[in-house]
Amino acid sequence: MANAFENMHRAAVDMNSEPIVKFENVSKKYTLYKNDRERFRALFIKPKNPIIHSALDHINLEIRKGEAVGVMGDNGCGKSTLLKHITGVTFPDEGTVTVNGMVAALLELTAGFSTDMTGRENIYLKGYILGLKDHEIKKIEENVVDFAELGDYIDQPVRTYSSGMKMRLGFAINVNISPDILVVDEALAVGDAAFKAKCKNKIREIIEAGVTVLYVSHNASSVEELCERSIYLRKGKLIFDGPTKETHLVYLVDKRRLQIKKRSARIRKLKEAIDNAESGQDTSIQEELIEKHKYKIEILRADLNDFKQQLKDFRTEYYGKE
Amino acid sequence: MIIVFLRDIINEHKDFGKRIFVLAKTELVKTYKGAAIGPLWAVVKPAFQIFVYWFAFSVGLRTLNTVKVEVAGEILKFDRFTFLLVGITPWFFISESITHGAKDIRSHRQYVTKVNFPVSTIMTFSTLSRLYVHFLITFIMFIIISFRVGPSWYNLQFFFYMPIMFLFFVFLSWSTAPMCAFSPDLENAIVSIMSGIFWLTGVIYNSYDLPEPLKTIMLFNPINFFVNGYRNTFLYNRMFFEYKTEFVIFLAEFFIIFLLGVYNYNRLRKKIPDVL
Repeated sequence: MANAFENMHRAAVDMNSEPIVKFENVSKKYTLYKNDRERFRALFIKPKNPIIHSALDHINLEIRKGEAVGVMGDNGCGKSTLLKHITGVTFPDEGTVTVNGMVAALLELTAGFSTDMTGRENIYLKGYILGLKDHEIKKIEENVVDFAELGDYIDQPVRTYSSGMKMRLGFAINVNISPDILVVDEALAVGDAAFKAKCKNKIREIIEAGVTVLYVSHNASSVEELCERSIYLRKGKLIFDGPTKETHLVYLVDKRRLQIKKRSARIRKLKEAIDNAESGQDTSIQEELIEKHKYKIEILRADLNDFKQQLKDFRTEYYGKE
Repeated sequence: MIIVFLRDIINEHKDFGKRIFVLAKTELVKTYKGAAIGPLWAVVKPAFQIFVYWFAFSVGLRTLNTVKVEVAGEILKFDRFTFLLVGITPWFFISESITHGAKDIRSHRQYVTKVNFPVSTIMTFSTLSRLYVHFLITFIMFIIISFRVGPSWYNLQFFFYMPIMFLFFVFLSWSTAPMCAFSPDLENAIVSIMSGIFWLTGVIYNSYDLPEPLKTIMLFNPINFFVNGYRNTFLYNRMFFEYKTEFVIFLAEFFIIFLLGVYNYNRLRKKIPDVL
């Protein structure tokens, strides 16, 4: 991975241009229904005390043409929801999302295939679903076939494909439709090593060609290799937006802080348990656990300070120069 | 408000243009691909159904072999097979359109949850794919009827009834499909009701030939409008507006279904991706 994205040459991003993706005060809430009956009832009457999960919380974000933006955050922080707004699949409850251009998503590569149709027919089907016209698909057809490396299988029904072959076809279609915006969600694990390298090169090519890219990964270091700018989401809130290195450090500092907080809370609980224990009861297990947590916190603190220092160094270097 | 709502649906279709026809074809291919006799199933299945009903009513219950219909004061006589054949032709399209139409969004969930797709066109292209099959069946029916009753200028009314029928069931699926996407209960309810609806519709028997108040109640079943409409076209040689009460009741229902469809589609459109 590291090698694939080294020495990238990109066109400079024009910061004064109109943003290609714009989030204005966007909030998204999911209504969770207790059960199927509740959901059925919601069709006709408004639920009384619905459980609301806030997936995005007043997000403001502007992405300009040609930018590669990484998205960091833990599971359930709203990354997928953010991407779904860009791909136009979901709609915000509040605020507006503006996307100017065609979006291709390397999210679920095999989505939209009809398994009884051949690979070639599926190129057309998927093209239509993505909103392409006949002649546009014809133009990319050969490129897709070449890229997917399916050989004679391209004219066989997709149901006979292995899952790797399906992914390859999906990837080939999505990267060849020449989108304005490409959304990548850790979808790089496609096929064998050779094909993986090919995919990486293709993505790199796309980025160099000046296509706007949104790259999502749990693995912050892979984001760092790809994107100059990154955002950090936590529980639906946009916590930080800046250079990837800085965002990554902010993310790490924040994460360590949360972990320390969690462990401290656990220690508090254990101490309470010891205090409430009846005389004569054995509390050695709790005491042992407290020691363990304390030890872990020590390590985390060291980490935290280390990251804080790195962040400070980065900031003096990065902003000092400018 | 309705106009604003409708504008969204119209825009979705306008931007999609010709691709609706291609996707309708794809639907057909999807349905019949992989079967050895492929598209022939589109004819075999209804043919067998007609045979069963004909067998039950003409061979099994011998006394029911002829149907008498009063048209403009005249009594016309048809054998049960001819009568059934014309009536059941729109029924095949209608029952498929109601049951499958309700499932349309759910069965195309990939189009809704994975890509930005004009959802209202799903109902259009999948109903269109069923209309292609309907053309084929109607054509076969027309040839048989030409030999039995003879063709007539009234047959051209097919081009009035067919588009109206298409629109009516697309409008209906604007309500049912988004609601069924929310809850499979509704889908099951529709499927269970439909098997009963067949016997409450004048497909095998003549809905005009019932004692009051049943005869009037039957006029409120919009499926009867089409079943009798096809008989107006191919058997009775009667214009669609000649039975005024029936026509006016249908027009009112058509309009209500349309408004409900627009309302329900727009009410639920943006919530569907979150529940599918």
